[in-house]
Amino acid sequence: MRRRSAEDGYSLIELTVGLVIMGIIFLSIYALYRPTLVLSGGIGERLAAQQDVRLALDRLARPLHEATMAFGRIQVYSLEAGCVGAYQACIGFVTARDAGCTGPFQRVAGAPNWQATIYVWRDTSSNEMRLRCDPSTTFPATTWPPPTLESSTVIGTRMVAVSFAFEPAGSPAPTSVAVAVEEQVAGPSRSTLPATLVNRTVFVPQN
Amino acid sequence: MPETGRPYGERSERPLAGRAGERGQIMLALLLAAILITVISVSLVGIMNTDLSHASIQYAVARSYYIAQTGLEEARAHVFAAADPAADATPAAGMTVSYGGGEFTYWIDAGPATGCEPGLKTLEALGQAAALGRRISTRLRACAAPGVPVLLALFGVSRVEFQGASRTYLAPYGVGSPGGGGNLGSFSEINFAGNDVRLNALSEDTTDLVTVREGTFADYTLFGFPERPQYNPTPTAEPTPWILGVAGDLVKAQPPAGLLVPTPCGSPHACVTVGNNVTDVPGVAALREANYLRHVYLRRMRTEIVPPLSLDPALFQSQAEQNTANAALNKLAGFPMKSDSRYSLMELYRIMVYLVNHPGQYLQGTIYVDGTLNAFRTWDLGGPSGNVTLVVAGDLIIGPQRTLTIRHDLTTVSGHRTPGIIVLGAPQLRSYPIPSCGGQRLTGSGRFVMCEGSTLVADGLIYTADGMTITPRASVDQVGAMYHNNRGTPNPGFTTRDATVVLRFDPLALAAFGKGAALLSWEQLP
Repeated sequence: MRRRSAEDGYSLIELTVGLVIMGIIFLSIYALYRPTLVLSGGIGERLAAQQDVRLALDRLARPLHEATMAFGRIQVYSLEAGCVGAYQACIGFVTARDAGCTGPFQRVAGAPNWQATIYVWRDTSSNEMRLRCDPSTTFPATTWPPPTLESSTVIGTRMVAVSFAFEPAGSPAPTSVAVAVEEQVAGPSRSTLPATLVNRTVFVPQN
Repeated sequence: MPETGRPYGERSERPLAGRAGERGQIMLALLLAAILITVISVSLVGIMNTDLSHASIQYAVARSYYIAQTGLEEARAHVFAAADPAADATPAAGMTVSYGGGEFTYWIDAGPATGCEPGLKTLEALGQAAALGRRISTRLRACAAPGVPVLLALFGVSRVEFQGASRTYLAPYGVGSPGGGGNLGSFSEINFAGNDVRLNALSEDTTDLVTVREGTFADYTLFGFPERPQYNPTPTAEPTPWILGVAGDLVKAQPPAGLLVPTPCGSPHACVTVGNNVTDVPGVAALREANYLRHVYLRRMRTEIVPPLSLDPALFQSQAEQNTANAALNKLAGFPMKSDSRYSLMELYRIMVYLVNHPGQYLQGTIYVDGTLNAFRTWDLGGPSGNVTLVVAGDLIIGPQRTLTIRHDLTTVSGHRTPGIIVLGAPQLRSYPIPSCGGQRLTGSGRFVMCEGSTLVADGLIYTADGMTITPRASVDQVGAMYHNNRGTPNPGFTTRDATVVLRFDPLALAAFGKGAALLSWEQLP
């Protein structure tokens, strides 16, 4: 039986040519959008890193705000004080919260009743920022490391550099603590984007 | 040969528009491309949107924190401006104010603002900032001492002097974890005369004991240490030991305008000097190390603008005149017609003779004495849990080996707030000074002199119009605060020589000034 002309199929050549043209079109579109896709991937990674940094600083914000700048109650440890090798950027400060430094704020006669010392540092081997609550003392150790640092909590990952510094710098009576956190962006490095992300925040202890 | 039957090279005679069955194939490709582009675009927009959301929320979190801080300051200003800071409160709904693109609501002893100890104000502030149709909140709370303009345990408008082997402890009254010492300050000078002066020196080499009303204890217990703290007291070995953090601050105070009294080093704020040197010592490390004051422990030195304070004699006169709680005692002591508590010297001496001979009976409320009062015998004015405020319109002297006791009921808020001793001075100074113990020459300017071996046990504020002198072997056991004014004389504000002073700082004692509000603690609620 003869088919009508409208029912005629495509030849193999026509199909092949069509597929090639279509492939070229899709490749062109992909080529056109590839930088955008790469960029969006980079942006996504940077966003994740940025969010990590924000979360790490959020974990520090409340205890640092609730701390005090009173002498002996907050310590930033220098290299000479022992914050070197496996440790980088070490700080210790008091908290008036009990129950693992997250419980209710304790007071005596209206003033903070210090309950524990919080130590924060960067572990150079794992690039993690870690936090340790030490309820055995309300005076941060004068040298690093303090007697007990086990059972710490990870509050930041991929931290390639962290710094704690009193401000104003060099003042005998500093009033605030500057925290700078630099996080490695995940994934392959993009030549157009920096490989790390830095957030520097100044906290003013209120007690 | 193709199945179409056309010879090679022969062009198809199909029109360019194609056959009906081929229509829409290009459209399909275009649709696929359009879908791909749309998906990519939507993904990019989504990523950007997420970024914007994160950034907006983070920005709102930061803004809400600062808005809440502003609310807390506003609450403090509310208490500050109140005629009676202790009674100040907001409605339960709080006070809401638009600020910084958001709004804050603050409460004072109302609504959610609860939790601070009796007598203190609970201030709470909720800061809110809008982001992406949501309200991001931060909630802050503070405890404040109402009517307390500044947190100072011991303050002298003129020079504060530590001499000889004096021992002074500016400890906290409420003891929790170690620390919390009281602040020391002056508008003029804080002078450490010799290297044997001990200030907040806690059992440096061996356990040192102090005797207070509750008994005799190791001095470190005053600051909350259950055991003797281990520290190196040698300044050269450890110029800034951690133990300094236990003590209070040294405040080099400056009045808001001009100088009330001259400073020896020429600075607008008070100087810290050692011996006869007029050079200002810049910090605690320099004081302890370079100036060999190894027994002086202070947290830090700081300059601060402090309002000059004074008490109104008329207020206390009025209180004493209206105080009829001692009418029965007056009658028993031989003044049947006297119902008030404003006494001449002879009247008070007679009452004190009666009280000494009748143990268990005490004075009550505000006692106002016209003239210079000499406690030549051991007196207990109000008993172990009284409410006496002794107001002297002259000078006050505690005789050698005598004890003056004015204790309050410290289980009550009013017991903390009631002043202990107010030495106002006479309205007119005598032109001829009267010699007193310790080489003091008194003119009725409002000085408080503790003679050798005397003892003072007092609660609440000790205020003098012209300073206080504590001579050798005297001892002070006080829960409260000291403020020593100056009446334009060259007298020092506070002098202690070879004596022991234990002052357990109670911020509420400063509420007698009735101005302002001092924040004692700050917390961020979850």
